Amino acid sequence: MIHSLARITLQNYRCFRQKQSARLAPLTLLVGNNSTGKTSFLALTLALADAVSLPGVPDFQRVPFELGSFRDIAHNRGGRGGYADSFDAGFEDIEGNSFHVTFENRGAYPSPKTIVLAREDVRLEAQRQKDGKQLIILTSSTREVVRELVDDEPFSWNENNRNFLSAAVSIWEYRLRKDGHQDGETDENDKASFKDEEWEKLGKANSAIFSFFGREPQSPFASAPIRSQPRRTYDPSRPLRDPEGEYVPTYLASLSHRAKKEWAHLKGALESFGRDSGLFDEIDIKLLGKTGGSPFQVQIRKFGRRLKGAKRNLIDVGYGVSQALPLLTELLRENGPRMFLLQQPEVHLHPSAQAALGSLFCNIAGPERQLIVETHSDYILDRVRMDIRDKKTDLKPEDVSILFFEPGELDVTIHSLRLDQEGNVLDAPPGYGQFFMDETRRSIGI
Amino acid sequence: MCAIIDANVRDQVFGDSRPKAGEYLFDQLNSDKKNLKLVVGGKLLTELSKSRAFNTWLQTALLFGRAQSFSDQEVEVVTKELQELDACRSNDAHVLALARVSGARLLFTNDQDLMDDFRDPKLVEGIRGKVYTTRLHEHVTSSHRNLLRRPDLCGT
Repeated sequence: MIHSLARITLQNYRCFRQKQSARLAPLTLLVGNNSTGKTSFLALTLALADAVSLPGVPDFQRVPFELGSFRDIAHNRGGRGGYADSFDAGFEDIEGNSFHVTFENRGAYPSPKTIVLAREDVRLEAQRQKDGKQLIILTSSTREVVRELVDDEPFSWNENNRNFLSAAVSIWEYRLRKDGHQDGETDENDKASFKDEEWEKLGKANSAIFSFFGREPQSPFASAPIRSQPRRTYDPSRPLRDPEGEYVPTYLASLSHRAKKEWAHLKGALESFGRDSGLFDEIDIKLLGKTGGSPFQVQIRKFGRRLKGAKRNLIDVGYGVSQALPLLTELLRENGPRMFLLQQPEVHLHPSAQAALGSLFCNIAGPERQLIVETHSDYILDRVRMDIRDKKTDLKPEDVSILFFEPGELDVTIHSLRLDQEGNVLDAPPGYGQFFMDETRRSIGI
Repeated sequence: MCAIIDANVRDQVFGDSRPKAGEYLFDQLNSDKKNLKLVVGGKLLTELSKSRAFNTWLQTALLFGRAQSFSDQEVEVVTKELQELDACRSNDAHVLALARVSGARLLFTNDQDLMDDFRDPKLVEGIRGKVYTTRLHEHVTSSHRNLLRRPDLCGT
């Protein structure tokens, strides 16, 4: 069972000073003015995913976000002492498993000061104290056990080649062995031992969280706001995923040549969206040689009313097609990512295609595929609202969250808005959409 | 706070030549400081939608949570229940039904029979309905202002 994320909490991170909690759903839309922290929110989500599933310290410099050093990331109110000396981030999944990290400044970059994994009453915390001491603390409703790490113990959460729980547990077991226990041997009277129920809860929390973020090719996909430019002819290369979608033409060519069944599935899904959005009716790969290693072109065809017309090179059709293609490929390919962090998917798209994207998001999001989408498109929002109302999607109103980023004096508040079954937007604060209300008022002339 | 606008005063809020109290209500619906929400649904929505200005405004208002739409079927069912009671003075059971379905307890109308019905706890249960009207004063009075300040008129 895969559990999608239900909530993200943060404090003293970028423009977010107060401790805040944002509700996530299978489909979460991030809306608000420019420079209100929407992209930072996506970056934090990716960093948390990395903290869970990759070895080492989360890389806030990872593309496409590139947030900079600790001082660029921690909240800054200006003036002397304006910088926060740490910032917090965490999430909770729909089963109540939670993972929280407090980052501090180490060598100019954010490094975990505490990491907490919890389920129900059981909580495992790794803590680095100011004097350099490292503690692992196990807490349950009946007890608290603190273990201090000594220098020769092989635990360091910024170097260890394992995820947090396995690293912490290996230390725990290492200490047990040092204390004369054998592997797998537990002693109920030894208060330092994990009890079965504690072990079970932490194991469940770890596997639920870890399995959601997954490994390649299912690890989170974070798109860049601008995707790579189309080329007339491509040379085959190794298709390594990148935020700008540079790899996508090669990936499509590779599928069309080597995996006919997968290609037929993806081609069909792309063309279905192409028709719904008015972007294109057909997409093909044209090999310029006889082998799979030959240069190739991506071809697009838009049918006329009676004639199919000619296939055209990707570079010769509207820019919107090549900008959308990387996102569509990731969203529609088989065995794709479980979490999507999308920046401005609507760029260069006509409103009809933006609306179609809204429907596509509704069809793709679900318990096992979570989409967090930063957007300025009313057409996407409105289509999602209407698809919920008209029951054109399996998503229920509670499966959609709209996070409105509202700027304040020096920081930003995140409002979690909901939809109801009529597609109404609930819990909107008074200023939500004020620009559009003012424009509409002007438009109707009253 | 949730408000209903009766079709017979629609143009006092969304029309070209509006009384000050109509303008004031529109300003409050558009305000970035107020949490006033218009509720629509059923036959009343059909009546209101005959105004192009209203339709244009409503589309934006729905998108940004300034208006809330309720299911036509749900409003229709309650309308029939009210009609079967045979207790309405007005012929606007659909407006009362919308109030019951949405919980809105603020109504802008100049129809005296509808005002009486809206204040009648047998027809509109829960918090007693409050009426915003321009029947006596078209300019903005303290009564108008006070009504739009109340935080409790979304009912149950």
